[in-house]
Amino acid sequence: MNWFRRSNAPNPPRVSEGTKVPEGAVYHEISPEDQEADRDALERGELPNRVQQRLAATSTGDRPWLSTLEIHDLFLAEGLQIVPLGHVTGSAYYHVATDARGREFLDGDSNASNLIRGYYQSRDLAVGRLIQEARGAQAHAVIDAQFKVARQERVIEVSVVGTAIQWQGVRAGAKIPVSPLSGEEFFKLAQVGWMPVGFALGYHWHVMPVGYRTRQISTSSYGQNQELTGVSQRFSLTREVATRMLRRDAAAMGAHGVAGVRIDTHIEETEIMYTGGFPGQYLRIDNTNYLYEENGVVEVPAFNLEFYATGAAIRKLSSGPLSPDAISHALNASP
Amino acid sequence: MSEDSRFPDVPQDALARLDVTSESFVFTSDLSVNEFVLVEQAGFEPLGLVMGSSIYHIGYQASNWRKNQEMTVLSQAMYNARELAMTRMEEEADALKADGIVGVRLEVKHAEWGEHLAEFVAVGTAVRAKDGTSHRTEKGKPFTSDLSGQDFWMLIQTGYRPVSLVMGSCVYHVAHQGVAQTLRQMGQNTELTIFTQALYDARELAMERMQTEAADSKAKGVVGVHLEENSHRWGSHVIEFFAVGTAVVPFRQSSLSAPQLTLPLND
Repeated sequence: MNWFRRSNAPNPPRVSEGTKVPEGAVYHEISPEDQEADRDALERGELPNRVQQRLAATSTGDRPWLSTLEIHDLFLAEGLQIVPLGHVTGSAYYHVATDARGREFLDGDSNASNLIRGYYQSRDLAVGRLIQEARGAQAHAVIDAQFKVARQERVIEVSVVGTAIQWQGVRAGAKIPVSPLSGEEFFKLAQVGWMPVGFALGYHWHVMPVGYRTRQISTSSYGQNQELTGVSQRFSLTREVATRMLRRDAAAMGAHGVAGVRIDTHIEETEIMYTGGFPGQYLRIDNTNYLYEENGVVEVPAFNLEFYATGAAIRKLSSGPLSPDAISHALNASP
Repeated sequence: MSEDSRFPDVPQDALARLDVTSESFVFTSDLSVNEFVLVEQAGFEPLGLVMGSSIYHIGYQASNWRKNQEMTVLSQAMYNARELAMTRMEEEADALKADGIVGVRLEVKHAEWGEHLAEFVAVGTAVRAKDGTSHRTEKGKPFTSDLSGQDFWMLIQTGYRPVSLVMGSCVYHVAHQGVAQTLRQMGQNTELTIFTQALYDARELAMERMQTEAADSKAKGVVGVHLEENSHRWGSHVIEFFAVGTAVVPFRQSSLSAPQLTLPLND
């Protein structure tokens, strides 16, 4: 039986470089010069050219508006007297300092402070660009901001996509709050007088050097049930530091609390290299003496303890549903 | 069958299934019961499950190891293959004399048996207005949308109607850094603007293409935009940005009443 009656229907034309396929779609490469200009713009703290064109064309109505919001979110937006303006984005790739062999630097308390700073700086870069786009679209706020934070080796990537909005009857201010919550969650909070103000981050990475006794517990293949008490304790401390940073981050955004916190933890075995000792001297860690080698270096077994927490920083503006006055006041309040 | 010449792309078996005038015609759909009821409430009736697929050989393009560049051959392949699957699905809907298709799912699967082969599938449920009004697009095609039955109902209530599922694709090669550059950056905390710029370019191109498509179909806006980032099988330095959403136009006043705050107690 002839299943597909396309024996005489030719295969679709072969697609090669330069073939115009979709009608109306723009298929041309971005020239190296334009790429260079975009990189310069990013380094100056500005936005690539194409982004500005899209914002301009979308806000004048030359091109259709875009929104990450789902239909039910749009309906709720109508109820909140919110007008979606367009899609806004922000991204940053960030390299964290290492030594010549790609190893992490630790500070005096063996925290990976460079990496920790890297997380905050890449978040700030991406959010800064998001806000810049929102300001370009004359937005009051960004809602439904979806964050992606990923790290591969020593490169951190932060990307965010959201919908820029205006409130009807609200005076634009110096502040542009960013809500990492869905449209529906945003609506629910607005009904009880809370407003999301930002994407709060709490991150800490601590490296704990251990003695042979402790390492043996985790490496031996026999023996009894036993807790690595020291590691548990130090991990609790790491968590304490990360959550303190989360609270501090949220407070700096003017928040009264953090909602919808998500947590990710990671523990793995590693080594720390101590340098600058005298050959033949001992370094005493966790009841073990480690001998400095001839080059003044000693490698000590350790555990990486990583704690990552994010959430929506939220602020209480009124006891009832949010009013345009309360929102205007919040957007224009001095920091 | 007399419709042969009108639907050259639809297989014989499919045409038999899509014959609405047949005595034994029963509609099929992948709508859930809730969706079915809401589609009915919105004034539409489901006609049938429609689909289209395209097995596509994705061409080869050499990339410069040190350069940020769009892989135009791959971009066009990804777009063209999805478009083929969509068009075939639309033809099936056309055969059903449908007004449009709701709940469209676009999927890409990579075949185990061919390195450069990919299968593009579009599946949805064709619907028709019960009062006989036409909701077809400017070009006389059935409308398409990835909205669920619930979303479709709500969209119609808010006074908007879907025009077309719009999409844009961009496959981009992200430059590898030279050794000298890598050495310079080693000891520093610094942004890698070359990667950031690549990401921006790829995303903007995909979004721009989607937006152009929406403008082409005379839409006022695009809702539920999803931006997907995928490496498919091209390795870590080649990424595809795929932007997809439903283009909408206003067609009447909103008829929804103000929402009530209801909080579930089990979540």
